[in-house]
Amino acid sequence: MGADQHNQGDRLAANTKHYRVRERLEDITTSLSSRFYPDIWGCDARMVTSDIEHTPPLNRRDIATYPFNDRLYLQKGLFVKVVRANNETFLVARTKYDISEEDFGPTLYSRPLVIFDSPHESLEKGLWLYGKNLLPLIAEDNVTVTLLAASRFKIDALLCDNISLGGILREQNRYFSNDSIIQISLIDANFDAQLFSETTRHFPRAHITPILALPEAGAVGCLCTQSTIENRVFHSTKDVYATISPQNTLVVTRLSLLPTPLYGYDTEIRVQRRDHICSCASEISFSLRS
Amino acid sequence: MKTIHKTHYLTKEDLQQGLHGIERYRAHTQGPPLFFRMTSGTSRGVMTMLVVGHPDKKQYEHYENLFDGPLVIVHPKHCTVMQWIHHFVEHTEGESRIMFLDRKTRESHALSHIFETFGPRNIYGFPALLDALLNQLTRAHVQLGAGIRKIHLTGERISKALLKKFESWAPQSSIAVVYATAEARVIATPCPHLEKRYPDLRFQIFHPVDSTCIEIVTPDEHGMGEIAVSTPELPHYLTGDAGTLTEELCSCGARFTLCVHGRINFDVISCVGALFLLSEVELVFSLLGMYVSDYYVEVKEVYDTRKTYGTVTFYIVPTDALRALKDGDTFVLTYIARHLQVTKTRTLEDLIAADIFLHPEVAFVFSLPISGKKVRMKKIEV
Repeated sequence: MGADQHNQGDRLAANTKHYRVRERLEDITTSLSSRFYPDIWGCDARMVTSDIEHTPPLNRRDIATYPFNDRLYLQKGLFVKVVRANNETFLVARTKYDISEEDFGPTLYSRPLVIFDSPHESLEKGLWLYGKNLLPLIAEDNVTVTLLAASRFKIDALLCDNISLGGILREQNRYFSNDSIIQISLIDANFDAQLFSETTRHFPRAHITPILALPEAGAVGCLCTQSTIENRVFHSTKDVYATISPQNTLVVTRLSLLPTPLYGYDTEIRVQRRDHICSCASEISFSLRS
Repeated sequence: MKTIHKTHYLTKEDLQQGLHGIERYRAHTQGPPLFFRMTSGTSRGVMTMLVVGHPDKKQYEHYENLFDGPLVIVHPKHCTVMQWIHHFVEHTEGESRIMFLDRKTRESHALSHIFETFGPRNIYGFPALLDALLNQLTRAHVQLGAGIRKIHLTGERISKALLKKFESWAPQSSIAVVYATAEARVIATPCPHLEKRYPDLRFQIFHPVDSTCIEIVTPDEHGMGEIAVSTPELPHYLTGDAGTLTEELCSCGARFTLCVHGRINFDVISCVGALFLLSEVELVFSLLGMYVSDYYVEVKEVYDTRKTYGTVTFYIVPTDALRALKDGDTFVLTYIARHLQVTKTRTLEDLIAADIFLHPEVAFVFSLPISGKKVRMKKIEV
């Protein structure tokens, strides 16, 4: 593929994303269901321009403190999660449609174990896997029961967060072989180099895919396939339009209409813009700051 | 595997190894979804696990009216919750929502806030977990029961005391118990006509669902035996529950009535011809309420040189009133033996007099020798 074609692809993808960002803004500004954004922005939503960089930022506290029912732009078939983050506990609604738009990594496996510190996250990823015609084994509260079930299922992949992966590394040996795992999708808001190397050592056949994600925002960043683990350049996921705030935090807009849409959401994940040349056609490249 | 009258029956033990039903799974191939079901084996100690298909429409009909308003799931097994959530998002077109109350949320200080914010109208749950949830909410002074319209319970037997508690917490709600097991899913559903006709058997009496074939294995003279079911995944599966199946035409059109008496060796204990029914034991102890604050009953068969006897030990947490009595243990034992019906016509006292049972024993204890899930009665294999 030539450089021109690359650029053309990049522009097309970026244009598509821009178009969908404008669609989301229109949804927000014309909705009669909720006044969440006008209230957060403190102005008439119709006055907000489509220039997302100049939109008043939305943050986790805005979501956590705004009444749940009043921030719902959709009401049908909601799967409601309990999210615990930074001493805040709040509800987040998802639909099967927006979950299906998620990108929780490649699915070249057949028998995934989904294990997150919060079962709500496991259930959400479970729904995503059903959409891919895969049967997910959802972790139970009891680790021994989970690992026993995993050994009976003969798992070949893990979808997990840092905490649960750490737990598996400590306990798994008694239940299934290290070589049976071919894919680990590590879905979290930060990645620890030591955990990575420990995981690589422990599961030598596994392809480890870090997915940058937050419970309230879903998957927001994925590792560039042409990046090295050491280099670790991320792009926004396909359903996310991302920018970087003046404070160097990742700001995301979900392109699917979520029950509480995310428009210009400051993830508070500290990032650094990267000038990275690849064929991924993403609007942004960044790396995580420690 | 057990063979009874030349039929091979699957048992819980067969599901304690391997993964029954997984042979149907084809990854990345579109088809009816499959789900995991498991039990942690509270009764028998070993986890059972299998893969099941989507229940047919008939099986879920009874549940789907739970989807007409915000629905909270209170269940110990995440694999079962996964099935509920999958079913909900696939089949709910209207304005509704579903939320799982996980263990951490149930135990957290944020519980009342979460519960209030979600605003449930319907609850599907496990009686013991719902009981604990109500305790938490009551401690937090959350009075949201008035908004609850439907409570569906499954998984374990519900006592009358617990039923009363749920009814007083949610007075506007209709409470239904569905007969289901983790392995065989929904086996039978309640019917208002049946409950009207047999008020004493409420929550024990059901109509089998069409898709599940039920038989009673090795029935006694009263027709009571072990309930065996046949589902697409489990042909001839022994549930471990005791029950009777009768043919009688109901006003709703159903032809068969299933009466479930409880888990064999736990809710229903057969011992040297006597039958200890948990409902009877509960009845007697409810009459001893001012003397007994908690109890646990062990039944066993002992072999003498020539004969097998039945013996019973009652572990009792006494109240101050019982401690104050001079011969408290004799008083309690005499009362129980005289009132506990163990056959259709005879009490425990009758069977002691007939030299079928040895004299029962009583042990006053500060706490019961059981933990976790409430087990009132157990048969000890010697």
